[in-house]
Amino acid sequence: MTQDKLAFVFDRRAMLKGAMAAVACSATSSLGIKYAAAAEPPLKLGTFSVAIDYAPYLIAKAKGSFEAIQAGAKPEYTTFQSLPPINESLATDRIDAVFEAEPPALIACAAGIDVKIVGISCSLVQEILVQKNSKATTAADLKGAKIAVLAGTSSHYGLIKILGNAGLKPNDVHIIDMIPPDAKGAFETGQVDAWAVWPPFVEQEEITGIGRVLPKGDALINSIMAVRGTFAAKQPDKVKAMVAVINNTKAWMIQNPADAKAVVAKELAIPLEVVERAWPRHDWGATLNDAVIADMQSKANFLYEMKYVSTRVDVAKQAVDLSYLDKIRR
Amino acid sequence: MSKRITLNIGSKSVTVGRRRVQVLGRISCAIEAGSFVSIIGPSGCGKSTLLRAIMGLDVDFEGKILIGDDAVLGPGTDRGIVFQEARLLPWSRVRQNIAFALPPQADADTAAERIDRLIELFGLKEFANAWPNQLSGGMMQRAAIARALVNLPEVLLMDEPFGALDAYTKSIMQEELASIFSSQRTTTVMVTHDVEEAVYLSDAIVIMSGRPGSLVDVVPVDLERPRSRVSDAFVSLRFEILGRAFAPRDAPSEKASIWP
Amino acid sequence: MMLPVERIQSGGLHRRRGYASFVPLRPNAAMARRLIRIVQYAALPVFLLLFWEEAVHFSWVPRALIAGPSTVLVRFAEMIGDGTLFQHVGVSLSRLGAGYLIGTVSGVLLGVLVGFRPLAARSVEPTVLLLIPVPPIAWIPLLIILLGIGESSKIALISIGSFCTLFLQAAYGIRTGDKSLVEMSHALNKSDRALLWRVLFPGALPGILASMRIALALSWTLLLASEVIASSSGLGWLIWDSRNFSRANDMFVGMVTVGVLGKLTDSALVLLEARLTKWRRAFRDQ
Repeated sequence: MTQDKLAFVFDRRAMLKGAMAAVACSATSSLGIKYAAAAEPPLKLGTFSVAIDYAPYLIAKAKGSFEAIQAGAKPEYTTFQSLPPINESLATDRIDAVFEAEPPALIACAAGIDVKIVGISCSLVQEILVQKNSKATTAADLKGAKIAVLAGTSSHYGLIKILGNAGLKPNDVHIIDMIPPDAKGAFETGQVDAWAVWPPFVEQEEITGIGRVLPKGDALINSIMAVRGTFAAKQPDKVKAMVAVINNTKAWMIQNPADAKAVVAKELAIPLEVVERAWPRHDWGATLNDAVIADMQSKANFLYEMKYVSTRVDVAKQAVDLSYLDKIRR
Repeated sequence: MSKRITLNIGSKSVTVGRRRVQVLGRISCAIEAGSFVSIIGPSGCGKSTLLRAIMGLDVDFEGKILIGDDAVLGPGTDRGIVFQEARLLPWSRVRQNIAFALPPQADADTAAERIDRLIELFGLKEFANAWPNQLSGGMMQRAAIARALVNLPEVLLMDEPFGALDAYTKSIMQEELASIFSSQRTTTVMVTHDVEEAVYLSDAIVIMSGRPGSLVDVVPVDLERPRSRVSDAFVSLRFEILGRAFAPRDAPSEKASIWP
Repeated sequence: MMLPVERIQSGGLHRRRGYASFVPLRPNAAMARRLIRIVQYAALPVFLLLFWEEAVHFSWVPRALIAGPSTVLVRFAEMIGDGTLFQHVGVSLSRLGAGYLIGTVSGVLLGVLVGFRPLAARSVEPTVLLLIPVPPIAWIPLLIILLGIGESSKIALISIGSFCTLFLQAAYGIRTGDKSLVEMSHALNKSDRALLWRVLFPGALPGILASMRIALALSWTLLLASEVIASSSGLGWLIWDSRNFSRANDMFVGMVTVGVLGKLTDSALVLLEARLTKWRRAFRDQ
């Protein structure tokens, strides 16, 4: 008898079903609204490590120049501390454009990841740091030394090229693969004799007086802009817009060096004097001309011959896409 | 060479929580060399405490215990000890367990010979290299007694050694112990609550009272060995001791009930 | 009186008064059972391998980053052929062995001391217990500063992991030794040394051996972590460097090798454990 009463007043199952339906409706409608608003995913940009060479990107980011490209969604900026996640993100469509030196992009090409080099931020010369009181005066003196460098970067290539020009083979030294934070500690505590790295790390050691650079070699670092191939295929206009932003920013930097340096120092959170010291080493007017492309090809050959990668990349044909630069010039 | 045990205890107290509880009262007696004495009494009367004092495991009491002419100051290899559980080392085989009791300076050859004889005597020959995990309760206790005898002790002390065994095994072990005692004649003190066992094995039975433990009575057992459990003398002595040791409590009053 | 025990003749199913037995009719029946067993073991791994191969073949996963089993196998053979795999394996195993042994032995000795002597416990344990919860990986920067970027910092990292595990287990095992056995040994007037090494330590040994397996797994993890920093050889370096240069096949060869070696080293420990604790598995009539 009691059960019938309860069933009449309190059909619990029906109530539960009704409640679930109500929740589902409101959830889908609110999600639907949200989805309709963000139909376009935000632009995903990335850089590698702390470096002054992608200053155009830093300045464009600080000025908000990228935000005009994608309506309705702010770009996402990522800084990678090591190289593998960059190529992994490119291969899994988690990043659209990367500002880095060329070897990581060439490695991606060699591995079959669809990546295109579409622009260049600057060129700079590779320097090798040695301890302040080191007896080494030229690269040839580095025989038998312990040298820290991050494998797979243009500094790695640069080091080997400089050693080669001085008559040394890679086996004549001990190359130790370390990311810049670890290498900094090792260099400053004297556990390695030399360090092949890029600005601002070079300048930081010079200014604190712990290290000095060997006489210039002739190895170049090209800081480029690489885009994901599938992204470029789907949204070429956005790629063109980004390349234009970078070019315009470079022009502005050459006109307004003092302001540019200040922005870079702020964005990287490093002292202004470090940026001042590094600035003359960078050529902000560099373009993707034949000389630069040839330089990149020698790096691709280096990677293949040293067996770091298993295929040889034809840079001009496979890695570089000049069409965006051409479209802007016209 | 078995020895005489002289007990001269004034009292022994222990601290329980915050109070001092007296567990043993005045106990004064002598156990003749070569005799088998059982101590029986109700649970908690201090018989195990007394035995542990003789073992040397608990020497905090007023008074003195002498083995022969020497006072007991702590444990020693002159006394063989058997607990209620066999307490064999699970990671050693039977032979090594028996050998465990030997002091470090023991001569290897005589020791080995003695161990072999004991293994033979206790019927452990097939199990000499077995792990304790492979033995039944009775076999383990046999090994424990063999271990207690390996140093040819002057005195054998046993604390309810057969308490954990089933009735059938218990009888067999009692018979074996009786026959071993007949040949070795080591002074033996056994604590037990089994009156039949006491009557079967002992030359004299000491009856202890409840807390604080003291001697109520010493009953000689003059039956001839090997003893028969079913003879009239045996049975009547057993009942007599049962009556004396475990006197029934006063009948509970009808009013005293735990239910309201 | 007929007892319910009768001879069972070979061939077929027999039921006598409720006793049933199956005796193989011909060799084929036993072989069939064996085959079914093999299938049960192998079905899932084979299925996963096939799925992996298809996933790479149809690019369900980025082919540049993940290599299929066939590619990995080919690369595996290449690396064995030119000796590079053995070189990496040798370097890694020597680091692992040194770190694991140092950590295990020191952990056991200190743990036994602390478990047995209250004075040692009072002096040493508070400090050790404060350091143990620090994850070994967090020690890396300090180890590199103190010991440099060579072999010693790697071996030290590995030994920290084993030490912590074994120290805790050894101290615990000694402290929870069977008190009845301790009393029995006291009654036999055994010295402290005999008590420790013949009664307490053998009792703690099964726990210590189990802990050693855990420490070994941890040591493998720490080995790979240490080889990522400033190394130029070893399985961890192989995996890291291959990842750097997007050489998926090399990376997978490294991972598979680590997995296989991890299993082999663990099995070695299991064998050791079985040898040393035979007494535990014995039971009546066995």
